[in-house]
Amino acid sequence: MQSFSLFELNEYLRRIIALNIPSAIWVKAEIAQLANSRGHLYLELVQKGEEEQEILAQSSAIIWENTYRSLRRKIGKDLDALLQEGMEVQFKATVKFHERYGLKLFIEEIDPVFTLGKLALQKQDILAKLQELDLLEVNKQIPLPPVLQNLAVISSLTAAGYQDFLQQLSENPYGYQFRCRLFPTAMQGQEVEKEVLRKLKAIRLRQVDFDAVVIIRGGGSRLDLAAFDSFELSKAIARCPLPVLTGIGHDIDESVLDKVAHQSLKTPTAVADFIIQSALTFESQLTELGLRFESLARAQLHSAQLRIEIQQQQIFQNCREQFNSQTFQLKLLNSQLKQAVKLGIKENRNELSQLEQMVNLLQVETQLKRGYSLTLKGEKIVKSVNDVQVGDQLKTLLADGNIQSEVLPNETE
Amino acid sequence: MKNIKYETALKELQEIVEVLQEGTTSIDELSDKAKRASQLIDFCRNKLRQAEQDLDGLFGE
Repeated sequence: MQSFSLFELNEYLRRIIALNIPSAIWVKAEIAQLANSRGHLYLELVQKGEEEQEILAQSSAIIWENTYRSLRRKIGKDLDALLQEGMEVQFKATVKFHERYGLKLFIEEIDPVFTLGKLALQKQDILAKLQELDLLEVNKQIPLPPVLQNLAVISSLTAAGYQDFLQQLSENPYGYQFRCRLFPTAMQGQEVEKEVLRKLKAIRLRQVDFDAVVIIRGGGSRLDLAAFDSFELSKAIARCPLPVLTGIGHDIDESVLDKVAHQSLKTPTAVADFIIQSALTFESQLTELGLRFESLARAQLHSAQLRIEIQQQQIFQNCREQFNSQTFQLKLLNSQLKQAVKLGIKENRNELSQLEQMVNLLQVETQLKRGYSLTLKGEKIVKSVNDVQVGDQLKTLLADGNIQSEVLPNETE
Repeated sequence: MKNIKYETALKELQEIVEVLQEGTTSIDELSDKAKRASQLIDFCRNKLRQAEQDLDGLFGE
């Protein structure tokens, strides 16, 4: 029976692999684990089956420190976002089988475009699922309270965006006061999903204290924000009882979270402006109503004033009319009275004079009968010599008739 | 003026204006409504700028 020593076997394997895969090749895999020791990165790579849990293939890989540094220079910050557990990556590596350490992939290059592509696909997939479950619009349905004053903020103390957000809010030119409660979470990498979910739950328990949830982080590359393209997270937001505002600070395109949120804005400062605007719109509504009230009240007062004036005038008018008509009547009465009186007087006088005349006559007759005579000058009785002048025609009444005579000068003159 | 919510204050103010729109309010009512309207507006304005935290519970951990 032929038997090999382990070393012989491994050495044989090493030679076969070296022979068949002499140079570096491009490989696609998902990073299951990632460890950094003394600057070297040790990765566990897997390939999963359809149902996500099932692992079809597994291998370990290494990125030497110097390779990492050169990759870092080339790819920049994205590299860190790429090298995250759960991230699918495409890399170029040389395959080596070591008698003692087994098979290892020595990574020399990483292709971020591949991962971006993968992420994009993943995102579409998640969006489709959310669409199917009708979750995309749910949070948007929640009516925004008129003023967003009490805010539950999911961000990290160190996140650049968070400080900008607070500053923007507190420096609003209108003197509005906002109350922000931070629910600190990691804003990068693998922890994002877990922590944000936990905080959303904490907020849900105290939802009565808040008007809205704000999820913000400053700038970041497309890859950095991959964590926000998460189905679980989106589902939690869709089901969040409060409207969610996101400001995850990137300009390329929206993360899945942005699509599910009530409002998604480009940057934390933009979210702050949105919040300030809500208070401002509310206050201008107040002012507008106040002004409308004032103008309506003024109109009401004015018309009341008018009514009073009109009544006043009417009263005045009536009085005047009555007054006039009364004065007219008075005048009428007055003149009638005058007439009547005049008439009355005249009649009386006539009567009187007639009476008088009669009386005179009567007296005169009795005197005449007694032999007296009555001399008249015209109608007037001559009572004194001064009443007459020479030449006057006189009439002397006697009981039985009259005598006409003429005044002659007196002998003595 | 207890701590009423912005929505309720706004709604009441809108109702007052609507009633006024009908023009059936008497002058006496007018002054009461004016008082209430300005009360509502001032309350909201202050609440927007409220410095002290009445949600103290909020900040206890």
